[in-house]
This record gives sequence, structure tokens and C-alpha cells, in this order.
Amino acid sequence: MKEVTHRFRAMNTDVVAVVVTPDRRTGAMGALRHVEMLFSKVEATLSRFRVESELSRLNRWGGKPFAASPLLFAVATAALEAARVTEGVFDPTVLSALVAAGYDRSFEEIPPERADPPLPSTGPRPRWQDVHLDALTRTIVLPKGVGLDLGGIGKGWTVDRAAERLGTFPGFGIDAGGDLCCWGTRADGRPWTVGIADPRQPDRDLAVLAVHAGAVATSTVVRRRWNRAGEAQHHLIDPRTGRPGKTDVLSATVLAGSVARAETRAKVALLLGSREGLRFLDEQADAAGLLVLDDGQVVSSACFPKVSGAP
Amino acid sequence: MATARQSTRRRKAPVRWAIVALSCVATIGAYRAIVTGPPPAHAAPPPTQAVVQPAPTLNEMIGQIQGQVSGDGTGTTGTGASPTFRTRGS
Repeated sequence: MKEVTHRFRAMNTDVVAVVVTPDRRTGAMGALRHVEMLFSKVEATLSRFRVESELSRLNRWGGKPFAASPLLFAVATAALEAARVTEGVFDPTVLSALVAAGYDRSFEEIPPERADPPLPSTGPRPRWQDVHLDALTRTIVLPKGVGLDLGGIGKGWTVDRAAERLGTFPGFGIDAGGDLCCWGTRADGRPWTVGIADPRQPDRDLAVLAVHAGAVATSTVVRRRWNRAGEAQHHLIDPRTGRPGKTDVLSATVLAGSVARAETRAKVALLLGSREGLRFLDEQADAAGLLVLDDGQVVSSACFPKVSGAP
Repeated sequence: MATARQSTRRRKAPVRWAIVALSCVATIGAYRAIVTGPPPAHAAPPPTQAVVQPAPTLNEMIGQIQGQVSGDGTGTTGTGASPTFRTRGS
């Protein structure tokens, strides 16, 4: 067996895809290039930073039925389902709040210090329950003034589709900026391993998981940060306030059966804070998580694999 | 007794019938393409090699955990070998 690796840049992050294959490599590279094209297509459709993307057109459509492509409709459906099962703590209609907080452009273009006036204590309230999806006509109706941000769940959804594409290989791993999925083993029979980075010292791992099959995703407030009128802002909007979430959790890492599920549960656990976040994770039948708190504690949900000592 | 001309016609007959049959098939195919038209622009291409794996249970997902996560937050690194992937949020 051999490993064939393909690296590319998409969705403003580095993507690595590896497949395990017998010696004939031509099928492997074709599949990996298909994965790259998939990422490119999803980004072109769902990027809110591209004026010509289908999502941007939807967000400008202003209250009228919008005939969506299968891709946009599928991701929007997944996002609203995640909002439903999390009772709105995950909410894709946070676009106005994100822009109001200062995340109005691709993150690398945001100045570290914005001279805008301070934000009021509450901001635009998301309204996921007012979004209407019609599966028969594949149309989406957004309330006027409401826009969707599908960045996080869109990346996770894409990794899940890529995993379906690579599922014919004996083993594979896909890592899209830390949202990742693994299956099977490496070419030499060893398991895929995933390091959980310490948000306080990103070059150090808190633990290393051996993943046989499944997805891992992490949400953190320490990476995408900027200052506005001297007050720190970050990209994880709490739908309950319409403002960047105030939480004692620095990062939340979740294991689940799909990347989209891991990503949304990680975000919710972080926004809820350590006490409610752990309770939320314990209620998930198919997910488990580890939280790093701002006081230095590291806590995990009941089903998170226990670690004991180094081998 | 058949003449040479008649023998030639008999040998060529199956070929002629094959040509006629192929022509009919081509004509029927062209007719259907005209009537049904091209596939809708939004029609998703059929999956070729997509495989949907059954969702694993948590126990099936994770094998041995390497390293130690300590309650005081210091933690330790893993085995020293770099993991295949790292998750740190984005």
C-alpha cells in the first residue's frame, strides 16, 4: 500500500487530503483532484466575500423566493437543521451581526485595530426561524435584512462530501484547516493520529487521538480576533446577544460522525460556556468534546475518551 | 445452382441487415434526445464512486489516546512523534 497526498489552498485555509492505495496511483490522484475541485466549487458558491457568489446573490435578494442550486440548498438545509437541533445557539443568520462586529471582509484584510465606534451591548438578532426553505421548488426565502453566513458549516459539509468521494479507498484523511475526517489506517497499518492543539501554546498538543473513523473539529476564540475601540472582538457570534460570545471557553474540540456535526457542536459548546457546554455535549448521543478554559483547566464530556499517562 | 452473383448477394445480406438495425437504433436515440432535451442545468451529476460510510459509534471512532490531559491545564505533549493532522480551530 502507498499513501498519495494532495495539498491545496481553499476557503482561506490549507487543505491536506491523503488516500491509501495499492501501487496504481492514477485513480488516487484523480480522486484527490476531484476533491480540490469540490472545494473550489463550494467556495465559489458559498463565499460571502465574493460579490458574484450565489450566497451573496441570495443575501441581496431581499425577501423574495430565491431559486437555489442543489449545493446552496443542501448546505442551507444543513445549517437550518443544525439551528433547530441546537435551539438556535448555532444560527446561520448571523451575517448582520458579524459585519456589525467588524468581520465584514476576509479575515486577513481586517486591521488588528479598528477605529469604529464601540458596539452597543446587543446587536442584530439572528432569525433562523424566519427563513423558509421549499424542498419541492428548491427555493429559499430570507426575511428582508437577513443574510446567511455558511462559512463554518460549509467547510465541514465539503469535507464530508469529500470523504464520501474517497470512501472507496482502504484509508483516507482530509484536513481542512483543522476540521478533519479520517477513515481506515495509514499505508503501514498505523492509525491516523490527530493532535489537539493547546490554544494557549499552539505549537503544543494537549493530546493525540488515534482516529479509526470519524470527524474532529475545533472552535476557538483565540485565532480570529481584532480590536474595536479598544475592545476585543472575535468571529463567534452569540445569537442570543448578536455580539461576539462572552465565554470562559478558549477552545472546544468535538468528535462526531461528520465534520459538519463536529463543527456545529464545537461552536455551540464554546458559546454556552463550560458548564452548559459540557451539559450540551453530554446530551449528544453521537458527539463528545474537550474544552480548554480561560483559567487553564481542561475538561471533557463524559463520553470523551479518557487519557491516562503517556505510552 | 446459385450463380456467383446470387452467392455474393446472400453473403452481403447479413451485413445489410446489421446496417439497417444500427441505423434504426441511432435514429431512435436521436429522436429521444430531441424530445427529452438536455438535462436541466441544475441537475446534479450522478455520483460515480461516492460511498456513504455508516456513521461510527464513538467507541469505534477513537482508538488509544496518547498523551495526557491534566486537570491543572499543563497537559503534556503526545508521544513525541508528530501527529498526522492537528486540530486547533480557525
